[in-house]
This record gives sequence, C-alpha cells and structure tokens, in this order.
Amino acid sequence: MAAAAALSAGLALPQGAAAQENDYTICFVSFSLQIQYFQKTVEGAEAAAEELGVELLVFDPQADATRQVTLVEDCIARQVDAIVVDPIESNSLMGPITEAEEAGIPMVTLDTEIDHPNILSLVGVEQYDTSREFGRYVAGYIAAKMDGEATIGLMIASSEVQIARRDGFVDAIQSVLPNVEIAAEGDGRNILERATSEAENMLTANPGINVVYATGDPQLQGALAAGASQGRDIAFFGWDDIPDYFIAPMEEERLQGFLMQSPEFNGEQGVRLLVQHLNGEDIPARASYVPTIVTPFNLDQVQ
Amino acid sequence: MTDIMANPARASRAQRQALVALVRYGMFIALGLWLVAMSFASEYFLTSTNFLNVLRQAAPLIIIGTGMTFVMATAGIDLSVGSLVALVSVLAASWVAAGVPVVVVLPLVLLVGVAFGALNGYIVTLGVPAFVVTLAGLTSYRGLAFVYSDGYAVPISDPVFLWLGRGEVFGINAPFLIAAVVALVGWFVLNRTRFGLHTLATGGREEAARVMGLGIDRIKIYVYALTGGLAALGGIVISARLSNGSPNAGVMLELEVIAATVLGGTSLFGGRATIAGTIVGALLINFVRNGLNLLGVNPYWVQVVTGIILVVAVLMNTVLNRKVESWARAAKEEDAA
Repeated sequence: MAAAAALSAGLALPQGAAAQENDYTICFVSFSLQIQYFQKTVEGAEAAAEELGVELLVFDPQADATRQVTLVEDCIARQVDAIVVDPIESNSLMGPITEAEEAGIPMVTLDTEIDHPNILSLVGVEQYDTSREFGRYVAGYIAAKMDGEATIGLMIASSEVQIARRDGFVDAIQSVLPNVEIAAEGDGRNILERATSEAENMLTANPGINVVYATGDPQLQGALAAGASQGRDIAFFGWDDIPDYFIAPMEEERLQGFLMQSPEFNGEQGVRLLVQHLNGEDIPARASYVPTIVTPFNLDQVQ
Repeated sequence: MTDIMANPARASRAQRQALVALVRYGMFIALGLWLVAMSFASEYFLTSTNFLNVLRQAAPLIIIGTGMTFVMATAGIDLSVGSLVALVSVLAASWVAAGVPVVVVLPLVLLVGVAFGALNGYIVTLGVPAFVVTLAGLTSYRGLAFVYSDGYAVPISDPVFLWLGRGEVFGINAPFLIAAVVALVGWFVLNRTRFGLHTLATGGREEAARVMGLGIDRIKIYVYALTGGLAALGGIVISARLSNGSPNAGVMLELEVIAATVLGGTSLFGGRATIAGTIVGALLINFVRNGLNLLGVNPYWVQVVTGIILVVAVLMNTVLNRKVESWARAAKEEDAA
C-alpha cells in the first residue's frame, strides 16, 4: 500500500518539475521482454523518456530476428526521430539500418555492436573484456579451493553477446590454468526449458564437471536447476542481473560468483544519447560501465 | 434484413446478388475497410514507403501461401514449410560463403526444397495423414538446419543474393515482384490447366477422382513438391531480406501461411481454393500488424486480433457462405416458379 502510494507520487513528480519538452518520438525495439534483463532495459528507457519529455514506443520481437527487422522497418515507416535497438542477430539488421540512414533516422544499439555509420553509439558492457576479468576471478577460485584442477561445463546461448562472454572466459581460464579441462558446452538458446534439459544432459554425460559457467540468465537458472536435481556438488558462475531466484543458491554457496549488470543503464543511456544527438550535441560512440562481481561474501552489500 | 431472409422472394435480384457478393468477397472488403480506416487513423500509413514496406514483409507469405493453396486444395496440409525455410536459409548462406556462385546455389536450394516436399508427398501417398508427415518434417527439417549450421547464423554479403531481399525494379521491391509472379503463375495453373483442375478434384471427392482415373498419388506428390520448392524460394527471399542464413528463420511461419490461406477462403477440407484469396489473406495479416504497430498499440494485441479475424473469416467462408447461397438459390427458384 505504502509502496503503491510512493510509486504514484514518484510518477507524478517529474511532469511539472524536470520535464523539458522535446517533442521527439523514439522507437525502442527490444530483444525479448520475456527475459527480466530486457524488461529492466525498457524500464530505464521509459524513465529517461519521461524525464526528457519524449514519446517512447516500445516493441517486443520476442527473440525472433525476423520480427525484429519488421519492427524496425515499421518504425522507419512511422517516421520516428530515432531508434534504439537491442540486436538479436546483427547481420539481419544491416538492411533496415541502411534504410533508416536514408530516411535520416539515427540509431544506437544496446549490448551488441553493429559496424554501420548510422549506428551512432553502442551502449552496454564490454562483453569480452568483462568476461576475461571474470574468468580470472574464477581461475583464482579454482586455484585456491580446488588446487588448480577442475572440469568445466559451459552453458551458453549462441548469440553474439553470449559467444563473446564464453570466449573471454575461456581465454582467461586457459591462460591462467592450462590444466583445467573445458569438458562440454550446452546451448540453452535463452529459453529456460531448453536450457534446463540441455544442462541436465550435459551434467549426466559428464559426471566429472565440478564448475559451470553460464553466459546468461536462462542458462544459469537452467544449470542451477539441473545441478540441484542431480544432487551434484558444483560451483556455479554466471551472468546477468540478480533476480530473486539467484539469491537462495548464492546463500547456499552453490552459486559462487555472478556478474551483475545494470540493464536500466542501457535503456536509459540509449534514449538519452539519442535525444542529445537530436538536440545537436556530440555523443560518445561507446557508453559502458563495469559490472559488479557478486559473491556470497558481498551479497549483503549488493542487495 | 431478417424480413428478407425469411422470405427470399421479397428481396430484389440486385439485393440478393449484393448479399452473396458481400459474403463471398468478405475478406477483400475487410482488407479495403482496414486500409481506409488506417489511412485516417495514422498519417504514416498511406505512404509509398509504408506500402512497399508491407508488401515486402508479406511477400514470403504470398509465395509459400500459393503452394499451400494447392496442398489445401487436395485436402492436405503442410506444416513443414517454416522449417524448410530455415534449412534452405542455412544451406544457401553457407554455400555462398564457401565460394559457390549464387547462380549455382539458388537452383540447388530450390531443388532441395522440391526434394523434401516430394518426400513429404510420397509419404502422404503411403497413407500417413499429411498432418503427421509434415509435423515430422517440421521438427526434423529444422533439426537438420541446426545440425548443419551448428546453431550459428551465417552472414550473406553477396550483392546478387541480397538484391532478392532488398533490391527494386522501377520502385517496386524485388520480394513483392517475385511474389506477384509466383501468385500469377499459381493462379493460372490452378484455374486454367488440367493439373489445377485435377488438384481440386482430388480434394473435392478423392474417391470419385480416383474412379475417374486421375493419378491421385502423382498429383499429391506434385503439390507437396511444389510447396517445398516455394518454401525454398520463400527461404531465399527471407534470408536475403535479413542478409543472414539462420536456423531460426521461419519459426511459426507455417501457421501464418496456413492462416493467410484459410483467411482467403481456401477450404481446409479440399476442393475449394483461391490464390487471390490467399494474397488478400497474406496482405490482411501484414496490414493489421503494421497498422497496429504504427498506431503504437501494444503489439501483443496483434496476435489476439489476428486470431479473431481468422475465426470470423472462416465463419464467413463456411457457415455464412453456405446459408446465403442456399438462400439465394431458394429465392431464384421462387422467382422461377
């Protein structure tokens, strides 16, 4: 009740106070609103839009690359002033990005880089570099707690972002601990049901796995569920946000390390940068931040 | 209205014809009304950019829908087209990436489509229901696409290939031109050739057609092969539009194609099929989605609205159509008497 009152008060405030009317319409084409991470990017974008007084049109391609292209095309036809997109497959978007350029509509991408002159900026963490840094933390864990020997299973989704997260991690582990074996790799495709069964199969086929690294939210959740159902003693590490369902595994010290992103930052910056550009200001080609590594030791602080 | 329904003779000839036409061409009228309404609702709707945009989006649906119309005319169904799109997408993209010339790759993948379609058709003639055969195709063809590509998308950069998805001739985009040619040829074959006639006869009353000595099995294999080939062509256009060969291409496309075909008035039970209707169905689905997107309506409603339109359309095409036509016939007989 109190929360609801606070919320409505919070919503009412910016209208009068900070709102500077820009009269822009911005399209926000997400990745999939069925995943909490992307829901939070939208929340960030909506907050920025409200603060800056721009109209925000949010579209959900439901992780379907074809649908995402169609939605961007519709945004161009709608003659919006700018487009934010969180790419599902960067190749697919080349055509519509060129069409947006011809129509004079600037764009920024979130999370995934697309090399095109009409993409003014990329917002999001450095996937490879961050994963390499995280890989070194995990290598330290293996060195200290497992005498430098471990068998690792990877749970990924074959998207560009998550492949970069895998590569950074694997490069770090192999350079620090050359004797550690990467035993298997499962592809959860960002779908929880699939990730769970894929992880179950991977663990069954590889009884030696005692470390799992997951490159995204559904993959980590699926791997944790598979590990629990098989009663395995595995140290889990992974990516994306910190939804409630990851807190218990971390308190039980099954989940040993976690990269906490700030998805709101992405959505917020995406909208803000485009508005600055439309207002004639220069904007940076890269807006980034370093995600926090959450462990059972600093969980209290982060929460 | 209820008055003239109860007593057909009181309606004038013109009124009767109008009512019959209204029901028969209901989807054409619905599409027309939707276009007019959206033109008023959104200033961005009635622009050449937007129309060409939607025509390009609808093109794969029209291309594959033309094949589906033939299959449904034989009282069959093909659920495997979306997966075939994915298979062709990864094969074409990776062969082109491996350096095989596009002029070789494109006919080759069309042949792959025809071959898988013919396989579907052959198994159907063995007596397995088409639903089951093509459901198996739906899972296994996409499975093959994933096996072949290892789950990864392959970028397409060949300019000739890309032209098929984003090029244009005299301002009309290539995908729609391809769709228009396919639909025209499809219309001609269905309505003006012996093969088309036999296709409809197969679906209308299969036993009668068999007694008449038609090669039912051969016709069935042909229509599934045709649909496979058109699914491959649709796959080429989709991949070119996305400049990407992806095993995730065409997910749920089969349902959209079937929806477009049924919307247009082709009967699920065979014997009655219309290519023009399929085109209208494909356009209606895409214009509804596009219009709602332009208005900024919550896009999830698009799925709900499409479903409602589908049910209403099938009601019109079956129940209402039958009622009105028998009513008109009764009136005519009374006139004669």
